[in-house]
Amino acid sequence: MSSLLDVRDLVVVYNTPRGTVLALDGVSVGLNAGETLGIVGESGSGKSTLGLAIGRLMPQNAYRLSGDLVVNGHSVFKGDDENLRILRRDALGFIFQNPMAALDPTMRVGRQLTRAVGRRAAPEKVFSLLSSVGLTETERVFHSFPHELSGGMAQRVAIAIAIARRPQLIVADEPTASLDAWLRDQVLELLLSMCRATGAALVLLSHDLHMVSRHCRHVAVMYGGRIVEYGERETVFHRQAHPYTRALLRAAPGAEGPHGRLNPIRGVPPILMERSTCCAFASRCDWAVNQCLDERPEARWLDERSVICHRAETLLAGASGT
Amino acid sequence: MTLLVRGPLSELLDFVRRDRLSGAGAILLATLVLLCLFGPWLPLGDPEEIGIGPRLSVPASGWLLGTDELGRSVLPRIVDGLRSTFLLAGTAVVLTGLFGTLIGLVAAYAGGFVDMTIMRLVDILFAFPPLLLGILIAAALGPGGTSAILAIALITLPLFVRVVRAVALSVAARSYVIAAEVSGAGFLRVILVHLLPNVLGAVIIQLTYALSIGMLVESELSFLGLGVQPPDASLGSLLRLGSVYLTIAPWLVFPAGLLLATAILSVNLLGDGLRDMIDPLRGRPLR
Amino acid sequence: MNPPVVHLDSVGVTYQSRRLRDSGTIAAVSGVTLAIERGQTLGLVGESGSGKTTLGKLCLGMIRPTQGTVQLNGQPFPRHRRELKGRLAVVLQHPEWALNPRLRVGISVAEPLSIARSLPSGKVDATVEDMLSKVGLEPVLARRYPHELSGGQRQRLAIARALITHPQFVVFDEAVSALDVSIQSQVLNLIKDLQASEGFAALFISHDIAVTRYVAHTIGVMYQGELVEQAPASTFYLKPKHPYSRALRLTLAEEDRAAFTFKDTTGSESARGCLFSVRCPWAVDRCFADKPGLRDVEGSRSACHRAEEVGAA
Repeated sequence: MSSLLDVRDLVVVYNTPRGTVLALDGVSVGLNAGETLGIVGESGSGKSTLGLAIGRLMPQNAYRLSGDLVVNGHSVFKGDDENLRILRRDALGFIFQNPMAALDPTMRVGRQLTRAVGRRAAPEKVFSLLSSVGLTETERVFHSFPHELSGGMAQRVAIAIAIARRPQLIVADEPTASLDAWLRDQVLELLLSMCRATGAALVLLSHDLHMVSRHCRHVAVMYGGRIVEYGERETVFHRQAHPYTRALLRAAPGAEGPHGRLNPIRGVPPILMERSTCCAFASRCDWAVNQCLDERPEARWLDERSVICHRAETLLAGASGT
Repeated sequence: MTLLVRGPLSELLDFVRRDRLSGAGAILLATLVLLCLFGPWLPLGDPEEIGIGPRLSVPASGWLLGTDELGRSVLPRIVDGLRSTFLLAGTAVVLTGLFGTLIGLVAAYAGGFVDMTIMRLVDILFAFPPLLLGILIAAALGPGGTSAILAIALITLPLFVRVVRAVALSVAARSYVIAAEVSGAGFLRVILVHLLPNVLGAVIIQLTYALSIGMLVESELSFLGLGVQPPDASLGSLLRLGSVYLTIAPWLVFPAGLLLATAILSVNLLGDGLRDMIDPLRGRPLR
Repeated sequence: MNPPVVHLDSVGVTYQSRRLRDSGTIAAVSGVTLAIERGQTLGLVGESGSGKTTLGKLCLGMIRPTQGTVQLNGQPFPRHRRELKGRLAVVLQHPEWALNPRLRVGISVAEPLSIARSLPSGKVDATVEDMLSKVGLEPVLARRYPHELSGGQRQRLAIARALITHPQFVVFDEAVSALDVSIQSQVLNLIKDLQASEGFAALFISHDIAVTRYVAHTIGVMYQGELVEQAPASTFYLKPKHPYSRALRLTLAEEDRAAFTFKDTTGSESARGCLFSVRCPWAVDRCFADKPGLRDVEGSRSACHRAEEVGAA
């Protein structure tokens, strides 16, 4: 099955002055070559940790308790540093929220790109890379410093750097959050078309379920360090089996009627200090019953998707909250 | 940033546990300060009693670190000298910390012409070689403790003004300051309620740096005879007297020099640790 | 009839450029005319650098216009801000810096009262507790420090501080942008409910159209320092009358996305014509030569020569 990326029951914790904080509480997910996976979650849900773990790029105070993450047959946790470096260089591409922070402010764009392509790369190759990400004035961009570019242009350069060595897997963490609204779809479309053109698989991390389900074939919803619902986008988006997925869709403005009200999720996302013994969403959930507080739900396959919820059948049957 | 919120003792213990090197610095500095404070009551001998033993004697049971050219015991004299050094540098640094912080806050928040004038004056002050400034002040006011304090204060002033101004500028752009301004908060309220408490972390770090510079400058001035005057001694003046007899009585120079180096090292270690703990420029969000 | 709470009359702000190479002036805002009535919310949208925040500061009297006038209740701004006695307030973006970390949050919330000195000090504590329960927080939180609270709680406290003097006008500058979806909707509902009960006029600045449409009665669109469209929230969403508004709306509506392709426009703005013309798929010759002014179009105001056609499309 999942040949390119395989995450198996991964548990990652952060050591903080106030004790350990659980970031990933047993995450299992896979991705085939050339596919797109959107991971949705709020801050603290663990999605960024998962994205960073793909390149073992987590901060120093993070460490893996159990589980494994395999890219292209190589475990990122078990190989030595040199193998990891080669994996990062040749198989992985990362795109982050703020393109200005991803680019070196003291180096001209052209030089950074040349380095990304390879030291002996011909300038023509860099120019064609720049035009392939939709930049028209390639000559000017090539000789610019990052601060001379607009946000949209800088993110295009960051995409060009990420795809420069034709990676098999691109991880994009909120790649459009720092861009103006009318540029977002364009930049995302570009990213997806670049993935299609180079055959790269894409992991897209975002808080926006609407956007993710527009662009990615598979969608994973994260909450409290676990993937609470995972499946093809039509399944997850139109027939939600997890109360959190449904609540997220109803809480976001944009879909309500002219005099409608938003339905916020009550309470706040949890900060887990240890593996939860109950459902992490139970205290905010309209469907919660005693079982949700007593018993930790495990992932199961239901109606073409994987879901972590005791009450998933009831939700699918169309009942409203209590 | 939690430095002022939790109890100071538990905070200190925590600090020593987390950062061994800086904790060692803190303990060393505390020991030296206690030694200075209680020196006169310790059985070290009288620092000013002449002829306690033979002149320029090697260390022996009555004079543990030997005697000087007047037959005075070296050990109580260097403890005495360390006290003078601490006292002069400490007084100067506290004074300049107080004024430097206020000047920096005013420069940052007033902006415009006031800011420019203050900062250019500070630049001029910064451009003077420290020792030259000290010699000029000693020449104008006459050598002695007061001119040493004034010299140290002026030399370390730019450290405070610049850092406090930089931190205050970033604090002034935060939401709570803007919200207060919209509500009509005046100049003094913003500076005292919102800016001052939030630059204190930076001030504490600068205090340790300024203290080590101050101790060095004080020793330099005293070495040149421009600091404390005999019969009082500071580490600098002890070094100068000892340097005359360096070849025949090295026990005059080495203990004093070693003590000065240890004191400055302990202050710097502590400063580095504090900086790691409460660096305000790192902008770590509070959680 | 009462004058509007805030009234801007052809207001402009120009800055002296600080760059070494060009020494001209930069217009952050130019020729903006608008009014906000009691109990109304004007939502302001536009891309970063379009002058939204500058316009907010103008309405609060934090900066003075270089052209035009700003009036509060038909009066010019008083010489000293203290005379405003808490009639104005602001809620800003970053929850982590919403409150002074060195003060207990109760003191932060009470600060506008102590500045205005409008309440005897014995009543302050009760007022703060009352305000905290109004924003949906336990009164005991008043004794906490900000680092003990979540981002959503801090943003609620920032709203409590803004409303404690019962201001006539509140500016929300990206007030919910840094919050997660589930928290964001709680705070949006809170803002909406409080406006209904307190009746203040509001300027709601956001880059997010969906959020703005939810809380605002009227929506204004800024482009490069100019107000290019102002329309009731309901008709704005259905029938925007400016091509730029259409472009902004694209994240909500799927149609005619292809018409807007990315163009590097830095420095190539039409000098005489419409500022948007170089990017605009609707532009005709007239747009490059003749600058359109804001005019009434079917209940909205739009600065476009082809507003009727854009609205009908």
